[in-house]
Amino acid sequence: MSLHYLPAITLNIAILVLLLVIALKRSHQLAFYITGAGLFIACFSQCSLLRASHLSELHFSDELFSFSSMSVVLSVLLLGILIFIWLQLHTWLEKHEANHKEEFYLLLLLAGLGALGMIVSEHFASFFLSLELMSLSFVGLIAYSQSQPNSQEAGIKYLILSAVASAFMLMGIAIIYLQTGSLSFQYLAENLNNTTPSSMLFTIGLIFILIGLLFKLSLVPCHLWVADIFEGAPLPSTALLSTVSKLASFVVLWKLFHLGNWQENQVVLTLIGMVAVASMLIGNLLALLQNSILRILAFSSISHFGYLLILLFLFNHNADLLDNPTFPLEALLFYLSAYLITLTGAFSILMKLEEEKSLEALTGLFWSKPLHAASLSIVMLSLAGIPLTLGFMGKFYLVTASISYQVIWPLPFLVIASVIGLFFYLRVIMVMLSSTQTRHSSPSTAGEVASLWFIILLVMSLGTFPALFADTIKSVVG
Amino acid sequence: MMLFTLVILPLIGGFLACWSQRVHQDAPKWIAAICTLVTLAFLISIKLTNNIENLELWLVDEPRAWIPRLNITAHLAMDGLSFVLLLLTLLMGLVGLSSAWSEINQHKGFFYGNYLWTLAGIIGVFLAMDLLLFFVFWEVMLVPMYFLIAIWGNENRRYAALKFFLFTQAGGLLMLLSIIALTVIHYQQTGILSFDYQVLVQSPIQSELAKWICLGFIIAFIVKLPAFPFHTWLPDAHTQAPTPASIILAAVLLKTGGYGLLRFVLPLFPESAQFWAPLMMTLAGVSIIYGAIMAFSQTDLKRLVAYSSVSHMGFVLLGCFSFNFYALQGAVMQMLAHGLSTSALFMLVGLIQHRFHTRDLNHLGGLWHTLPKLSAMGLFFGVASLGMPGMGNFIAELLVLLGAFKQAPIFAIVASSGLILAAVYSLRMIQKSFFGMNLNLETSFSDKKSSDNSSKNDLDNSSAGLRAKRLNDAHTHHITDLSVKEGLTLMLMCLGLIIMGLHPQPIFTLVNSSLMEILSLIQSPLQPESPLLEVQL
Repeated sequence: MSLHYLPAITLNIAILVLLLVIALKRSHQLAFYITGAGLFIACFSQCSLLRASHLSELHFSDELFSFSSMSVVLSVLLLGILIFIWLQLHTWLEKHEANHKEEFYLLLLLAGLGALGMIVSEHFASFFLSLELMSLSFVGLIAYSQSQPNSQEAGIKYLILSAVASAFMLMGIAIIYLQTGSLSFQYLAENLNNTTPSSMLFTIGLIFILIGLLFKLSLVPCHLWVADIFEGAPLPSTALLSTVSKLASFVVLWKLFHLGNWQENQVVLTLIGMVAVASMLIGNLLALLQNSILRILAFSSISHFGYLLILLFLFNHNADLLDNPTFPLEALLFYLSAYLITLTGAFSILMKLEEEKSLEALTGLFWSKPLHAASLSIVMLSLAGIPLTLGFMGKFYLVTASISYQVIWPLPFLVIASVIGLFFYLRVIMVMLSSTQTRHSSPSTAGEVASLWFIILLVMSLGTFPALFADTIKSVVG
Repeated sequence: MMLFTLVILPLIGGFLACWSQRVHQDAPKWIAAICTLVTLAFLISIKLTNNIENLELWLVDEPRAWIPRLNITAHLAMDGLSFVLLLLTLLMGLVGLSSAWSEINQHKGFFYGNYLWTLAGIIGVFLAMDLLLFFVFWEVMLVPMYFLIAIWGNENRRYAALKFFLFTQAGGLLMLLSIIALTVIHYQQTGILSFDYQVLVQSPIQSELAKWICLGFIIAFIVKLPAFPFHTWLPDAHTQAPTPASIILAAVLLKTGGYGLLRFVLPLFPESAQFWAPLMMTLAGVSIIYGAIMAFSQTDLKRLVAYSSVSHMGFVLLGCFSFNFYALQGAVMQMLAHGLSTSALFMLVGLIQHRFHTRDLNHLGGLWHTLPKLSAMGLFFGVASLGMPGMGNFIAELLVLLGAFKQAPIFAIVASSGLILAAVYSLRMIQKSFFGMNLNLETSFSDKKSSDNSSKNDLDNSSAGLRAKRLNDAHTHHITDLSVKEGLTLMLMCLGLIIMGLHPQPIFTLVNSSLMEILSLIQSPLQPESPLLEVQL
């Protein structure tokens, strides 16, 4: 048993304790603290793993899971996001949920455990089990709010569509198993180098798995669910869905792409290329005229993952102009963490605003709640990729990587999509600037102010002085 | 740290101004004024302690690691060209403050904060020597400018602010792609990964892509300049922006485009710039003529001045792509003179709008009777902008035409017809607003609430009887002429233009060495030209 399992074990223990506590005595406070303790210990053990051993010694794998410095960092990112959302969960639940607040924490931990498993999975069995653990928890999280019919509807939508996606994935896994006789990623990677990978059946299997992952990432042909669910679900669930679930799914997609030599499969490449371009453009176009900020974030997340797909083309691509073979991986890690940190910030700001759903509710926010408005504007500018924010550095890395690998063709689409994107990010800021009469607003608590400043400082300081962050990522990847 | 201080001072001043509104309503504007003055004093002290006029280039030069992963440095440097433009920035910053002093009454703290941040961004643009740092400043200065237009602008401010931002951002993204492509290709050729201007400039890239990379830069800069097909944001932004923002926009922000062409496009892409030169000169010619014709047909004073900017900046573009010492000198001079004359015109329009609540030429007229001082100033700057000898604009246009004629006579001939057109629209503006029938008095009443909506209706029913009745009312309604502060600001700007017109040599001495360097880089692939004479005017 390796120390690598410690975070997952901690989460497991927290889940079990929480179950018992809920059965014995319902107390929101207690559930909150148990969850917090679980998350903090898990995060701490993960960090200490990164700290204690030499980075190259972090590699460890067995049949089902494999760990590397990359997976450790991704897990830290994941746990960090969970902790940040957990910090604000207490006040939010007190305000918005009448009864049964404790189970939310349970589902949060389960979803987190599932995502953690997906990040380190090395075998189709472990991957699929973690995925289902995460997806089913999300069904509960999305349909959590009993008072709101929208939330129930969103939950059922997610359940059905996610089941369909899982079915596709299972079918794909079965087809690949039929071809190769193994479910291990490692075996597939080695085996595919020798045999001809472009057999029809194999390609179909890959596409089936891809469809499942595209659904989880809400990329373009499989994106129709995302806006309704973002709008219907309780806000913390939306935040988790758009960060945790997408992070885990993208990591799996990257792993499959990285290991499986899909780079040589022209059909799959064309497919991914089309999905990337369509996601960039359609995601931003759909967001243009939305009137709900959650729908805007939903569609913008489509386009952001569209940008990220560009990076998949760079792996195993032999046209490196910068003599820097790990650079695409660095760019991937940078963009992913930049986007997820910014998005978590956006959601936690929205959780602090009372009428968060429609864009009109934000009218004149600059004059009634300047700090909230300023932080939301900075987050929007970061999503749009304006310099001095984290989002810009992410975009800079991404563009540098793809230019240095001579994958130029997606870049015009990226420019067009970014300009379209700017339009609606600015629209959010514009709405907050309008209407100069000041409304009465409740004073913010110290914790609220502190977390808003934390978001501003994080996004701005990592965007302005990215040297340390960039070096960390380099040492992790390299 | 000396140059960093130049950027950091207004940055911190902006935060102070934002915060100080809690202390006192008037504190932000004093902080802004003091901060700009301190920065100006600091700039001049740098100039005095380091002799920039020497042959030695890049006198104050401070590289410092910023993102070591990709060898990006925070590298600021200043030479004569940047010094002159920084001086313009800060002086025009003061002019803008003077016009903001009584005009801005809402959210003062945030206004002056944004104002100072814009200045900080512009100062950064003129100092940055690392391409990525340059790009960061280039983009960042837009955000506070966007707020200035979107919050304190006129009726249609949101649309204008959005258009301004989208145009410049689209250009900026192209530039980002070009910067990265340039660095990557440079690395491929030399094995040095650097975003530093001085490293990149030593070995211009040889690649088929160079043309397109060059075009990316050029588009970003001529969007900002703005030249003909990309100019549509300018009239909207100028019309809708509050007067201080208009002044900064016209006097300094447009100049960053010209500066970019001079500093980056010409030295980094000597061959590609030659390749694009005919196209760019055509665009410059079209801008000059088209801007002038459009200016002629405007009835809104601010739009008129905005289109005249398009026309004048066409000369800068023409000068840059003439690859000729005189033309480059003329381009720099044009940037300075245009900065002064146009911002003065915007300030005057702002003053007129403040008094009569309209900018419509059809509603103005005979201002000379009511506001003799303001009208005299208007006459002066109108005449300056049409290029009257004795003013800076004349020197600038003369030099550009001289240089362009050497390189491409046809373009020079086309462009010189712009001078005639400039006279036409400037005189029309002067004629309609300051002379003629005294129409303004009625508008001061009827347009108080709806400044623009009623523009057309009013014309029809402004019969003589109505006018006579309103003339009587005029005596009860008091309209003041220029205040001492406004008068002083405008007088100083007059003086500046006259000095530039009569004794431009000190400015040329400052920028000559920078221009020589640029020219030597661009002409190395060509045959060496006959020894350059310094222009003594």
